Amino acid sequence: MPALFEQQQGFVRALFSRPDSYEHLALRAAMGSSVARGMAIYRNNVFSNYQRMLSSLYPVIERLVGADFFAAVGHDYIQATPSCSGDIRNYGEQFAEFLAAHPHANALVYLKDVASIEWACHKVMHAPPQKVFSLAELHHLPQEQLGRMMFGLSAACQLISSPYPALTIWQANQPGYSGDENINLGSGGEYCLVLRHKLAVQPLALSTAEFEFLTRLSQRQTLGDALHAVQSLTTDFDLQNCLQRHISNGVISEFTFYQGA
Amino acid sequence: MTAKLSGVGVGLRASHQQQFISERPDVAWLEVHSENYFGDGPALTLLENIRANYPLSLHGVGLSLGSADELDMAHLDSLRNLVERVQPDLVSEHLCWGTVGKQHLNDLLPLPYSREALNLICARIDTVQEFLGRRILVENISSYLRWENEDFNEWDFVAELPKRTGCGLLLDVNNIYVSAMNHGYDAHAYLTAMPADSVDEIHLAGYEVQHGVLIDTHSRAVSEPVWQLYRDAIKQLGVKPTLIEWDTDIPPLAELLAEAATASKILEQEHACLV
Repeated sequence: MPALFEQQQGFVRALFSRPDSYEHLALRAAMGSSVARGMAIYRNNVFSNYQRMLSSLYPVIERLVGADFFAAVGHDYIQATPSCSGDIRNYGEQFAEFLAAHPHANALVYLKDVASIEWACHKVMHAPPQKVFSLAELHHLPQEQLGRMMFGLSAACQLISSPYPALTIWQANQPGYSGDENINLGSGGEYCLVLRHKLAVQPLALSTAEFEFLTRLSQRQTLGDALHAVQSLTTDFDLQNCLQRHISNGVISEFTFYQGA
Repeated sequence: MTAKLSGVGVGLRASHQQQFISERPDVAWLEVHSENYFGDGPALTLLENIRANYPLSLHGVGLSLGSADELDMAHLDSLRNLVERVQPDLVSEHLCWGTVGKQHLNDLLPLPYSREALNLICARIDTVQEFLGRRILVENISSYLRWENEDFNEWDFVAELPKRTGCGLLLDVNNIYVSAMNHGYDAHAYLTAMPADSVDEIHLAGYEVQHGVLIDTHSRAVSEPVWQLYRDAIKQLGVKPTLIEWDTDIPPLAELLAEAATASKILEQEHACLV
């Protein structure tokens, strides 16, 4: 009998890439069935498990492209993208990139960013709880130290930018949406913050300045550097208001001081 | 370790969670898939709220005890964190494999019942029990293919696990029936080979038939022959905590509870006969 590793490797190869290779595997069929049929049952179990996962992760993409097309692209994705976790909730992360590269899907240029919003919603939904601190804590700090502050963003938030109105598309495809369904793809890019409030995950629109500011904070730039960068982009940035909003909603969840020179 | 479970529980699925909080239906205990609560997200908070009112069993689907690959210690670490958080009454996993060369299939695949596989899975069970600091239960799966030239039949392989590792058994009566029908063996011979003292839980679920093969879909009510085999299992093994599983095409909670009531009735009848 071949070693266990070879048996398992052969089984997976037959299941994924070489459907005809089961003949070398010394497998025995169920009564009245065949090894090919048995392999097809396992293949169907594995693929439909991942298909269900993709459908639950990417309902807006499925709605945009239709169930049949979604199933076909999903099948290609599953074939090309092995799972790397025993926790199936980690499956599907590369779907946005896959859509962007897929020859039958890449003409819909906005799909990648809409899918990124959906993946961000999933990540945020399962992230640990936000630590919340009070804005009042900052009031006690000496003014000259403020520029050296570094803020940490909560694990329960994600920032996404798109050259397309990806957030508007996402919103227009939510259950119960009653607004205008005509979206002009040329209406410009959008910035989006996905965050969690209690048990609900919500993507919110951000201004360019807010997005730049939060992105720089997430890169561990000091408050001074982040502010300087944003002010070089726009004069229309209200720091006080931005900090207040994103500390109270839990997006900015901690602060430290830059210790370098 | 907390008290042992008794009576009939149901698998807790996302669509019923709110009802378990707001209506607190009368069920002896609940079981969840461990991986759904890995990490520290709101799902775990919700589970902790529910767990405050029900005994709980953690049932893993992703540890891949029987893979020739190294055991995934990060996965096991997540499981340990969850065990510490919710203090379950039981922790179980499957007699199967699902990973090779770091590729996960996220499915329960059949092991060859060879000496090599037995030595490997027993060493894994030892590692897991040591790491968690507690006994685990291992569950028999359904299969649609089996391996040629095995050293053991399935029931002797299963019976070796508690003998060698001190683990418990989670006996899935539907899986015994499905595999017995598929592979043409006697389900009662399987039951007879089970060490009664090691069986700490029983699973029941519904199967479907596709092209003459029975498939363990967990998508419908428990079938009549499986209820009959369950009665025989209780007669053979004694009264055991029993779980109704339903994972796809999940019905309204009332229907799931009706299945649990049927199992409870059988447990009571068999208990009355046993005492």
